[in-house]
Amino acid sequence: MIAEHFMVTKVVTAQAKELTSHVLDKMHHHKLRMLPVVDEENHVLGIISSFNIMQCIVPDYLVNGDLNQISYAPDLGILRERYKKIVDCPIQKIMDTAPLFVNKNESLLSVSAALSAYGKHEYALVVDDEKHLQGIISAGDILGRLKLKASEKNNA
Amino acid sequence: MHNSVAHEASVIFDLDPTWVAVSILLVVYGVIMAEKFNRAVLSLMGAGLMILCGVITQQQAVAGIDFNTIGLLTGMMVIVTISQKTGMFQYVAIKAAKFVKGNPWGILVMLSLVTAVFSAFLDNVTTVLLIAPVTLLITDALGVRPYPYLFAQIFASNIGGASTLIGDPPNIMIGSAASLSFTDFLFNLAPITPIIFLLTLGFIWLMFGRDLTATDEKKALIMQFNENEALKDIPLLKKSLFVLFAVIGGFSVAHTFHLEPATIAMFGAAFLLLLQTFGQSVHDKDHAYEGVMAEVEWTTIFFFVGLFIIVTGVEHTGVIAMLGQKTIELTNGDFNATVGAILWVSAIASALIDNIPFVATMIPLVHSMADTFGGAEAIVPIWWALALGACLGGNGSLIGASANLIVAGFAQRAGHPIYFLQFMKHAFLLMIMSIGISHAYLYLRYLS
Repeated sequence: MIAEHFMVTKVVTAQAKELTSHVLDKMHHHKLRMLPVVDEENHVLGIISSFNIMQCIVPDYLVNGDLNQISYAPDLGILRERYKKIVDCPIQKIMDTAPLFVNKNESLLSVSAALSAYGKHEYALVVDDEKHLQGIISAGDILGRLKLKASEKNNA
Repeated sequence: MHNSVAHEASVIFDLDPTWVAVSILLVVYGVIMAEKFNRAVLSLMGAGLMILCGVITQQQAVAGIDFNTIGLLTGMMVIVTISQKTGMFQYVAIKAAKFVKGNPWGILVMLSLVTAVFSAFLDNVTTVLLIAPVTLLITDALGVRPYPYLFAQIFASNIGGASTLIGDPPNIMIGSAASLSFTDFLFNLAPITPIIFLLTLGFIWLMFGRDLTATDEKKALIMQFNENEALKDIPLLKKSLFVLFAVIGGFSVAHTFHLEPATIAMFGAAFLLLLQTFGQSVHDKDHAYEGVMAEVEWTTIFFFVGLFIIVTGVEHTGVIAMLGQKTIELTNGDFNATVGAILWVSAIASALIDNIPFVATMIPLVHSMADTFGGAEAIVPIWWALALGACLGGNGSLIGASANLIVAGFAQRAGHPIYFLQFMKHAFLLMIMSIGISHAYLYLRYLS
């Protein structure tokens, strides 16, 4: 089985100039946690995810410094202030510009291995050689497809 | 096993060894300053070229490596790597902030004091790596701009580091090269550094003090920090403190027992590794050892190895001794003027270039002055001038010391970048003030 057979082709996307608040509304409305960011010609520019946005809200010095944990700190109101700033920013400032790309002819095994190795989130974008978005595959799609195959075998 | 045959090096194509060695040194230092390549790789390349071009043999190169400095640095890195996991640095920083009831200026003073004391006994980079993030957390809680706090911490780390043998790499190198002990540094440098620290804080108050205000609500937030939560591994904390104090005590008496500081640091490191994993399975022990070893800054260690070889090559040609004599001629053989020249040149140079290669080059130059001024004992004030100049000079610009760049990196990531010229505008004059005080101290204590 190849990616083309199990990818989702009706993909909700975002534009790089959209405000984070608008994108969050869109994600909430469609019950999605990640949107590919594309230009007018459907070239992929990156992805924006709820995890991505949360990472931008948490101060970098808490994550990348030598503070292993800050269980000693009370809620300082930092997150609320930073959230307010970030929701008014266009997503191009905070989107992840290095998503996982796969080709529509890649096997289920290849896509699963690539997703596991990637480790940042559970989505792979299916693109052609010019990076045009063709579909999206999540870990859930792969597991759903495996479940379907297993039940078909049992029924047979 | 091969029998190593001692032989003299011969320079390729019969080139002048002085020119070859000096060219390698200047090119390596120049590219290090450009910061386009890793400095350890560059120094090892330079070291390799010294041997490949025939300036020195491999035997001479290896003999030129100061293994006392390498051992001391590595041992202390292992001890600090284990100690920092206990959360004791964050505990002390929060305790200090709460001690002054969340007062913004009081916090600046206390965090600077904590930074200075830790920097005196641990390396500056580790200290600021641990204290700067807590500082940003506290300034975020207070709602004040972090620049004055980070500025003060840079100064505190370099002033604290100047106080002891183990506080700053230049001091480690000088102590090892001149056989100056931990207590020598403590008795000769530690008396002046608190005065410089207090005066620096005074100037920082004049520059920023009046702007540091916070509401009672924000101060109350600081008091809600629970420092006890920062301590994650109390048994390891006890072991780390025991070894840290034992090692510092060992440094104090090492000279009496004819022991080098590297022996004390490496033994302490090995002992703490043993204590850290006591009672664990062999697999867990191995895992813990590998984790600690992976965090040792091998880049710095190899940078030092390469640097020692490069300087050995240049020293071998006699050019450093010649420069030493030229310096003496410039000061007309006047000892006081020579001490002053070394102090000021070291300070200005260390503000502009990495003080580690600078001191590595200056060490043989100072050694070469011993005959003129009456032997090794007589030139000890020159070593103090070099140590004070190199350590305090690091405050003069953002690139003057590695710790400065670490703090600037944190500030950048926190959205409060420290700009090169903005920093230098405040810092250079303060650095000049500290060197002026050092000069007066050296004059009154050793030269008058």
